[in-house]
Amino acid sequence: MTTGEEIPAGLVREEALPSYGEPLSARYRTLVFRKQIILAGLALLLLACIAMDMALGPARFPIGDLLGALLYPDGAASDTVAILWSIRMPVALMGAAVGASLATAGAQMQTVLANPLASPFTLGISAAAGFGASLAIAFGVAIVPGLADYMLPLNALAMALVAALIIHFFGLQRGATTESIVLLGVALAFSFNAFLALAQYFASEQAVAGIVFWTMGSLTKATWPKLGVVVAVFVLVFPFFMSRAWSLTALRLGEDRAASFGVDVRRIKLETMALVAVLAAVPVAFVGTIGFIGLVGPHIARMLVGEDQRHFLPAAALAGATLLSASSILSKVLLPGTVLPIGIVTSIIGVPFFLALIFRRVRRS
Amino acid sequence: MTRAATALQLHDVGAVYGRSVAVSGFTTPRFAGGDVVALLGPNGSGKSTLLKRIAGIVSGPGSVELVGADTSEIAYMPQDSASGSALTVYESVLVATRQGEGWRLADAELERVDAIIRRLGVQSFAFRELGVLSGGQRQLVSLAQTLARRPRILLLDEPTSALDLNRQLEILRFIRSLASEEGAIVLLSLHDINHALRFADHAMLFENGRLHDCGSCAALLSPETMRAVFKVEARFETCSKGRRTMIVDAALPG
Repeated sequence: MTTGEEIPAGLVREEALPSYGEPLSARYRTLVFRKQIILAGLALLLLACIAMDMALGPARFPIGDLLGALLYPDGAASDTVAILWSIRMPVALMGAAVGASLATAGAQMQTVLANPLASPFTLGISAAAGFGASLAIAFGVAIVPGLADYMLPLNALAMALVAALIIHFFGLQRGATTESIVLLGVALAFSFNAFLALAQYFASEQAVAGIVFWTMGSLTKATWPKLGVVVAVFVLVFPFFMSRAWSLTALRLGEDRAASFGVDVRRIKLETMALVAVLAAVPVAFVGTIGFIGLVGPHIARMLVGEDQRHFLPAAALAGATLLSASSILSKVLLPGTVLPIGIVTSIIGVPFFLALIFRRVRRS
Repeated sequence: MTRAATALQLHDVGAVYGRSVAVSGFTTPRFAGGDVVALLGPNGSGKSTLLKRIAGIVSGPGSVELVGADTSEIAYMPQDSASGSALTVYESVLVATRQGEGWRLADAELERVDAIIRRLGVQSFAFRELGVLSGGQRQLVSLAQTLARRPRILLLDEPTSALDLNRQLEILRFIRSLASEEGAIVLLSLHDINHALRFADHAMLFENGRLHDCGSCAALLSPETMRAVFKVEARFETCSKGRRTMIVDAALPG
């Protein structure tokens, strides 16, 4: 059938702007290589932070002694070995593991909710986990019956899942906007903090002290078994996200577009939010509420490597781990002789960042 | 390259959002490879919803009959593409080709992305982020993502709404040639009746979520249908180049 229109060769004219001399694919490969270098750089920076974190503490040891205790624990002074292996190393590694978990959780919340302000802390998932854990500390209430030994993390997980699912189903409503989801998160955070306060009010004095210390977030109670649980959860969840990297990346083009590529949008969003709850709740159960790492880490990753999940996700995890490790160092050097609760340090760093993000949105709209 | 002839036909197709019925009762003649079908109708008359229903993004009653093409060969271009993404143009086209496949990128795949980007003339900003592009640039990139799927059926929701006049004509001509040369079927929603007269073979007229009529553009587009569907007083005249052109005189009250 003809419409009387003469049809050209099918090519749209080239833009009048200069084009790249090399093939686009070669340039793309170069950019990918650059991102891999950035990832390697982040990994090195993380290792440096962990090392420095282990070298610092209230007790001062010469670097040589610490290296000796690290490499030849049998031949070194027993107190140095004890402090390094039983206190500083689990603390430093816990910082990195928690940072990686929180930032990964934040990155995926930002992806599936299409919301740059989303993170476990800003949308109330951390507060929910905190409330769940406080029930265990204050009253010994196990939300999941029969597993009393793991009451604390399981309680945190159960409440975090509740909050994550509330956000998920609210987000599915037509007309749910970036702002309304953030407001819902604020409401959730307020509610769970109020429940937490209620738990404190009725708890014994001893339990209250435990809860207060723990709401500020602190790495100092890290032990090898706790570290093992946090690492295990991360190691199980992270590959799941990586295996869905293309689908998650497609979500950044809009849900309709992703669906037209054959992505099961509803399913991947639900799965992701459930796993986010797991990633966010387990650290909260062991080290308390540590804010803003889950918000700031992904943003740094996005600035460094963009949003292709194959690079974005590892970059977010590394950035979060490095940030928390650096915060741990700061918590030791800000007031000499004292280790500040790390949640306070991350909030001091994170709040200005959060405000900057909000103002940037306001300026755009 | 010859492939089995592609055909598409709708049988009493409807779409449902939650509990509300958005469109219903769409039965069409059989469209064949090479056909360009314009979806025309006032705002909110169901054009976008029907395209999403055919694309399988929303569900509903009735059946979409496909011949010579697989559902994975249907490509859908949404009206508004995500604006805040930090993906580059190149990455966004690449991700369109990659769904359900492994991690390694073969050279041939990247070359295909290259070709599509050059074909749409967007290579000069291939490594800029989507978030910083203009609306028109974004629409071209969105079309590139759609073509990356190697579609036999293209569903385009107002593909030229953000483009300048020059680009509108180039893109429509491009879409036209894609249908004619590659035997694809194109369904696209349009607001400009003259574009439909010039580039489309068939028209589907939408009215309140239903099909007012479906047929060849020449037969269907008349002063009477413009009054009934669009509530405007219009005439169709032959311009000095011999092309049938619509001129709108007035909006009807109510």
